[in-house]
Amino acid sequence: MELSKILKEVQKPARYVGTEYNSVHKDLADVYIRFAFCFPDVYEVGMSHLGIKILYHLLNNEKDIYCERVFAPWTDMEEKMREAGIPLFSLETRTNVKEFDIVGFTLQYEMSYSNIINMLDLSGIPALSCDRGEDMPFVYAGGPCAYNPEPLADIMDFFMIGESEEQMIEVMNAYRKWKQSGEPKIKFLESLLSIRGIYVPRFYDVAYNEDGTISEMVPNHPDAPARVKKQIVRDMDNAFYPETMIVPYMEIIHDRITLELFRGCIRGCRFCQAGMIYRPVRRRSPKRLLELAEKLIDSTGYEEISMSSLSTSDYPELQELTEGLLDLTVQKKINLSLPSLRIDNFSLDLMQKVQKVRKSGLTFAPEAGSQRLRDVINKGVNEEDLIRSVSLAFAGGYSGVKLYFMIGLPTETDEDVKQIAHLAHKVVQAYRDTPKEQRNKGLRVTVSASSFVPKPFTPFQWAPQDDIETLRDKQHLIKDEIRDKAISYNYHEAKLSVLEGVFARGDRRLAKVLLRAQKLGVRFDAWQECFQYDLWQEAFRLEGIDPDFYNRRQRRYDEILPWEIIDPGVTKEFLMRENEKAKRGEVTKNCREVCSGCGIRQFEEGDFCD
Amino acid sequence: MIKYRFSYAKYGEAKYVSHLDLIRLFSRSFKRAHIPLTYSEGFNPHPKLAIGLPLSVGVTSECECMDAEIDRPLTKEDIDALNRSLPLGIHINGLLELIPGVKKLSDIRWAEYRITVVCDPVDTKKIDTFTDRSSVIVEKKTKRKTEDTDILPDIHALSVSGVTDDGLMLSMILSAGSSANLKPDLVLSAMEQYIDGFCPKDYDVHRVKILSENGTPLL
Repeated sequence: MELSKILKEVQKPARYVGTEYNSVHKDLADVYIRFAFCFPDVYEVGMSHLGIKILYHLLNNEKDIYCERVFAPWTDMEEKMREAGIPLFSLETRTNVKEFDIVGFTLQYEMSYSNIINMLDLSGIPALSCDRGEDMPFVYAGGPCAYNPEPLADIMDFFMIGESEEQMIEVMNAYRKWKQSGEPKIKFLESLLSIRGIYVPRFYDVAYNEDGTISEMVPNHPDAPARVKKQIVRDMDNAFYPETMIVPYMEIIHDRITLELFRGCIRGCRFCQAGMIYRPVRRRSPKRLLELAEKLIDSTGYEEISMSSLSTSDYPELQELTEGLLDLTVQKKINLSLPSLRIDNFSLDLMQKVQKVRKSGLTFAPEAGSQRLRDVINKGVNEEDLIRSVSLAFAGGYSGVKLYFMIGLPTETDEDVKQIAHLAHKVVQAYRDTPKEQRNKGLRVTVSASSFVPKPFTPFQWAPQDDIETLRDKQHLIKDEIRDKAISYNYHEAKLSVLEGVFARGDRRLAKVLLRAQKLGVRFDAWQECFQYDLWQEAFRLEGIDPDFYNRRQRRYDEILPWEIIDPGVTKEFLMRENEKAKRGEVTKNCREVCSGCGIRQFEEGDFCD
Repeated sequence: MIKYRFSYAKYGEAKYVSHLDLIRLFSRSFKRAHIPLTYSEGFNPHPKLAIGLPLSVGVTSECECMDAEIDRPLTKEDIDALNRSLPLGIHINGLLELIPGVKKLSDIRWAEYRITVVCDPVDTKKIDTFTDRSSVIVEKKTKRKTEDTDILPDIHALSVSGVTDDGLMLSMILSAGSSANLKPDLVLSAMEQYIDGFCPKDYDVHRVKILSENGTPLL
């Protein structure tokens, strides 16, 4: 009754309702393991995430496991829940999260960490692993940010590193066995040590040097591996993929069917963590994808289907796949939504067929303004290609172009930054050079500059990050250099990027800052209207931790980095080699041209790099 | 192409589905049930679906109606398939072919509601005689301003229909539709303002009937 009263008073109550079509409802009497899948952001963000769709159905396919969803309540809902003393609940059965066997969080971006602490607090679950007794659930995390698990090491009982389609079942089998045994919780954690990709932070001791860097990180349990090897799926066609997806009541961010084409990326951009940690490249066949597409269209009723990967243009059978999908979408009267593709005659023709309506904006990501800096970051795009592409697009009737850049990249000078504006001017010129009878009216060039955040397991993992003032100066430098009304310019909040930088490369000592910041009231940091930088500063001050230690330092190659406890397959030698090449402005060819010897082919038995 | 009127109930958790979300929900459900909705012509084809009277978020109903154009005649099996394709809390309970002479959605004038109120005991006579006054003035918020409005002309019936352990049940017939529309919430807040000792702590609204001119049924 109390909850139903609250739901009448909050915005978008459909966020808190778990009876959507294709949601799973089980008889609790048949369930042995209750699993709470927590996404530390609001419903419409979390429900857009592919991982949750895969794992939700994978777990619920097991008869005695019931996986339910939990999202962070929006601030209005949280306030009412705290007022009424309602703890955080699962959507499907409205069970207090504390009552579950396993509580899993997915780590998609660092700026969701404060929501994790807040969600645990709302559940009445102690945030620190060491404070959770035998009556408390196991709390674990996975996802891309788990490749540096250390900022959450004191919070999580364990981490699942890598792709969990197969690993998840092993962990569940271990849990089932442990639960039947009735032994204390520590025994379950010990049993996980034999499963690849599981990191249990309490089984490692960390010691520090006087300068604050790590002197050693060693197992304190005989079965704990010296380094935790990530888990990967070998055969994408046979890997689990859901044939049904929950269809939300409310509109979510990506409100459509997602087909995952492949994992990994052949490009090797030096700033890109995803391009490193998701290696090797493995793809699904067009046959399997078309089969999945048809099943998903029929089971969801969605009116749109999209393709997902790190770089869809690099999918070798793209033509075959898109032809098949086009036929299917015409037959089923639904739309095909295209990701951003490398612009050439094939993709323009494809867009022509797909977009019957408006010729809205095209997106390009040169990432850096000058050729020198694009070579440094190994972004294999040159100005000629870009101008040729936009000219093709303008001649094809497109009049909107979005250009994505980063500022704060290693070795960047003011001249490199100014080149961002100059490149945008050249795009405008390319439009003016297009014959009037070919181009459409109303040119719009949008320049978007985000701030570079060095990430673990990239060649730039040792680099210092620009401070807030420097980033702001660079943001303004671009602004001052833009002299055309057709260009609009936007940039990201520098404070947020700097904070992201701290947690991206942080260590175990940051957990207390997180706990403190949550108490001070931070939530939803990724949401501009909620981000409270002053509270974060206060939290660092109160805990006596200097954020500059994490993002302003040039790290040395021989420093022990907190995330080196994880083995992602790419070797440190490769990352060092790439970093040195970056300094010299040397590019590395893509994996299909020449193998760059990143280490992933030796990582697994039997080379299956695509 | 055949025009049909679907009547349906909306209850339980589905009451939190908003009007706009409901249209999308139906068009997806028809797809799942393999019922071919007729699409509009043009650049951006959309299914021809119209919901009779928007239902506020949080309100349940047993009498909603929606007109839709379908490419082929419907069978009972289609309706069963559609019901299987709808989420919990939305259920088709009637189908009518829209032949000439059937009233249009634009003929909707009134709606009847049953409201379960949680409140301390109150003299029910005061409620039954609430509409005997010459006017009921409330502050009505529009997009730009707040103004005093007399809602009495839009209250066509109001009475206590039952007393419960922790409150009472009200029955109301109010103006509904495009020309005049009055929400039960506004009537309740007016009652709270006018009737001594009537102070709802919580309430649930349920729509019972949708009516056309002078209370004649729509279907």
